Amino acid sequence: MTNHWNDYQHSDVMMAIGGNTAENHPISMKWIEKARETKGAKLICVDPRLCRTAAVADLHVPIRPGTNIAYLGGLINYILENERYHREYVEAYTNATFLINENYSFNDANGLFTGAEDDPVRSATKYNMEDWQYQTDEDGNILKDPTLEDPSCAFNLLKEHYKQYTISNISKITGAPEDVLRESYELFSSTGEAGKAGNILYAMGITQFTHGAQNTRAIAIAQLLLGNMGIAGGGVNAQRGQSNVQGATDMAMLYHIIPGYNPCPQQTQATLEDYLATTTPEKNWWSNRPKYIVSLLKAFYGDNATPQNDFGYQWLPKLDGLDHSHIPAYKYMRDGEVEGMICVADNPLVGGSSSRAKLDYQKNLKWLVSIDIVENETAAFWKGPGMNPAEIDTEVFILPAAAAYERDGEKANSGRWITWQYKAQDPPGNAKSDLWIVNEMFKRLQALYNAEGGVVPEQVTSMKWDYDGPDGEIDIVKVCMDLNGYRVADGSLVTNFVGLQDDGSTACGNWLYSGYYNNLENPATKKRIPEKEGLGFNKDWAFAWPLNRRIVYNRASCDLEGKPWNPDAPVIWWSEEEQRWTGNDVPDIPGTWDFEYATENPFIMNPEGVGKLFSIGYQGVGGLRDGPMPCHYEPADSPVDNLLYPQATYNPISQRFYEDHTVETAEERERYPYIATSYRLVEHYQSGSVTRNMPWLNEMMPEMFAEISEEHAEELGVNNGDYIEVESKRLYNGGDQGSIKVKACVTKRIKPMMINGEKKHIVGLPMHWGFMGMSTGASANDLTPSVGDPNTTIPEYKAFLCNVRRSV
Amino acid sequence: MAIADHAMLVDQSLCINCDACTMVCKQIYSLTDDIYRTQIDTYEHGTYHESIEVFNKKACMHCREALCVITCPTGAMHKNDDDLTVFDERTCISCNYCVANCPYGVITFDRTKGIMEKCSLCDKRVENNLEPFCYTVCSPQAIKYGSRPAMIADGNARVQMLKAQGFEEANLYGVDEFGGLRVLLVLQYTPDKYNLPAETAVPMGSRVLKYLISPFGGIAALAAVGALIYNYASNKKGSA
Repeated sequence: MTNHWNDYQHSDVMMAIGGNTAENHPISMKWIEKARETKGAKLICVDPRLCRTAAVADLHVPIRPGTNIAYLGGLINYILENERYHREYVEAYTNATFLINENYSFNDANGLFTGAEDDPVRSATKYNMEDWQYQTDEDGNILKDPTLEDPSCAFNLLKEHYKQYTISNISKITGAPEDVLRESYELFSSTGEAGKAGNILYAMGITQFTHGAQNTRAIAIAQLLLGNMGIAGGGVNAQRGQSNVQGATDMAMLYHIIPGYNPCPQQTQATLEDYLATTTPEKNWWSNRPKYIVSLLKAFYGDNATPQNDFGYQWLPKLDGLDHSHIPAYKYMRDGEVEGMICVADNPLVGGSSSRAKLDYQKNLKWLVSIDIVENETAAFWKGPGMNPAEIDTEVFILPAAAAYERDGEKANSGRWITWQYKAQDPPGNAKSDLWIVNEMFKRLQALYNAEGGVVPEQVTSMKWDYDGPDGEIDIVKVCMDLNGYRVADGSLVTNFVGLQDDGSTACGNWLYSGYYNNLENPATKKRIPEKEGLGFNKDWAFAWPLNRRIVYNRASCDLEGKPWNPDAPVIWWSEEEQRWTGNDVPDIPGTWDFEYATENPFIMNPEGVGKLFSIGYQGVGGLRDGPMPCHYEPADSPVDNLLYPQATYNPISQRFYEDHTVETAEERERYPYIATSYRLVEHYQSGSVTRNMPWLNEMMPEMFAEISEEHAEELGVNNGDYIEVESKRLYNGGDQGSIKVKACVTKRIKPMMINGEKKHIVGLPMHWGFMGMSTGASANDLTPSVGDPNTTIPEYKAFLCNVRRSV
Repeated sequence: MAIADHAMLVDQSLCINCDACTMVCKQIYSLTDDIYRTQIDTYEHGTYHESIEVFNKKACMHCREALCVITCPTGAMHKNDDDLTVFDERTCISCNYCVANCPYGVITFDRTKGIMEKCSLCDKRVENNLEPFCYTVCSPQAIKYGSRPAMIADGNARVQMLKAQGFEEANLYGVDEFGGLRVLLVLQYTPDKYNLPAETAVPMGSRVLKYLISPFGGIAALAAVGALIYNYASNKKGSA
């Protein structure tokens, strides 16, 4: 989130798209309802189903799963055509005026940008992005046209790109009625006025697509055009589905980054100098990257990290240019290339895509360690459906973990607030906290490598690892100090990341967390002082990264003179008397910048200094692999052709690992005629390993079901409560069609959609069930395709094709 | 001491059916499986995309003129000093008249415990000047709690706001129904869309019955026999 939960109260219009916030993030409704009650704010819900958010929303826009870019592209077009954008903001705070290389073009026939070429490694298309750059003068300064008249300025390219996203076209693609589309566009674009705030809140219904990153980009473009970034009540707000998933990403749980959102080193970056040269821009915040990287290496390797040995950069693992995320990891497992797996609080056999196939792939493991509070499906795969334990040689270890309330530690919520959570009770039996387990595991590994050596033992042996307290058990405060950062000479804690250096004199495990534990007596993360009056920033409640800033890019909340666009909800402002920035929030402006520079660079993380309508990698920062602007591609499993780009279907850059996970032929479309989408319920949580073992919750939501419309049920001859079989291409095995058996829930919440004149049925599937626990049932993810977004390789859980039969 | 003439206001237009109230109640009062004191019902109306879905937090409304109290032959279901409808298991004969007569269908007979389960508006908590548990956990703050006149004023203000938003049928339910309810509801649509009863006054027959049966313990015993038969029949119906 660029903003935070409490901040929703300042919105004038909120759009919940790709997220059922009332059901899955109930606390958001406190602030949404507050905005509606106190200032008559409106809530728009864009969702295929009449979900609970839609039930309480002012306007429900039903769109076909997987057509978010079409819908948002329509919004962008509406804003531009009707001049609903915030002109002053767009001119000053975005790259609208920047001139783009004249060779850049977009082909309307095949939906490809310039620079498309074959990628034999992935058997897909990739882009050579040379032509997507800014025009520059001899000194490298970007050329701009403040009048916005040059046809190659980003603003006009955007206009040109989205001109065919008309309401009539969007209605044909998404299935939403034209009048509803127009009403929603009109309502949301009303926030383009200075002083009005529009908030787009989303969740996995935006990201889990083969064009998921571009979905998010489309949201960002709309918000930039309307001047909704940096202001109170605005923002691009990703609502996290798990209490500490924000913290997990901050700590680089993903393979492509190292802590603090720094890119993972590549094999092509042989030295620290190479790495920093290719990833550090000349100006703005990421120009500090060397300080953060060197401090990170010092935290990793301690005294072993010296200027002479590149601070141990050589010991960091380097990427080989291939994808190592969830989907390919299981593909490698299928091919026998993976020997063992440690699964920490993860249950891919329910939560992962095409999970039934994964059941088989896990047989190829020699060993599997599962760290969890229950024996979940992944750990118990050997006794899963259709498995013969006698044939499986995998040795499974289950390490009992402490539950969330049985251990101390901090959690980062969606709004980036790092909040300390105290232990409520001791874990039962031999269960231990994750931290204890990791500490013991690493200590023993290090001892083994010290004693016996191995391939590149230095990676492990040179690691500084001294987190034990006086009692020989893990001391969490030592980990916190590491994350906060300290001066190497005397071990004193740094105040915040401004104190970090690139000469090895400081160490810091994650620069973003610097300042959250900067004193031992009263660390910021443990603060609990609610504000008595104010705008809901609650500066003394926990610590928000970065620097306790609650709204990022908040320079953009003020006009060019430094006065808030909205005087009723001022975030920061320029104080003439004091000649400095001040306000309710921590200004997102480095103290060394003068007024003019700050005004020219409100988006301090971008080397350009402004928000990107046209998104390209510039000086090693930013940019997506599948184009500078989002365009409508169908999902990989799509029932219709691409209406806008006739020769294109799904995202040509997307990550395909299995040939049979996309629907390619008309015969297949006939075989799987219905559109399916998967989602969560309030009663259960993720893969259900915790909630399906709670009797009360099982009582509330006892079994797996599929939602189908009344019309669809009539066609199939199915009554509410009858069993049905749902089939997809993932369960098609050489003419043999597998299925999942679920109960039919016949409901008014779902309705067939008219897609380009054809009636298409929608099937809704909750994703929580598996074969273990007190409540067992079929997994919706048995059906989902393992096709990934080109940037993140997140699987396309939210839109795929299926067939439904009455169960006999 | 509790606020005099306190009441709860449930704003159904704010409810998101998250079931936090259901769960906290279930936990605190250790309710048997499949037994609830409060529950959220969902009703669908119309046709998509003109369809609507409404939620109704279903729990005892604590009617001033409570049919369960009127028809209870033994006084097990009675009004306490605070005028809340509460249940005394010591005198209950499990006749189920309360269950059958409750216009809101919010009293359940728990066979395993042999008692009637219904919302008590957390009477022991409000006696000690604390709010009911469901109020404390409601994340969209759809549940409000305070003095009844204040709740009526709040409710009317919300109704005006909803009307201004285009909900022409918005209304405050519970001011006069059954002599006035202690739980008031803000509704966006007419009460029938929430499956609330059309008849909102105590029928004469029930009053007559009350005067007939209550003075005579013998008749109460007879009623108990009748209750067993009724109970058996309703159980049959329930399992069908």
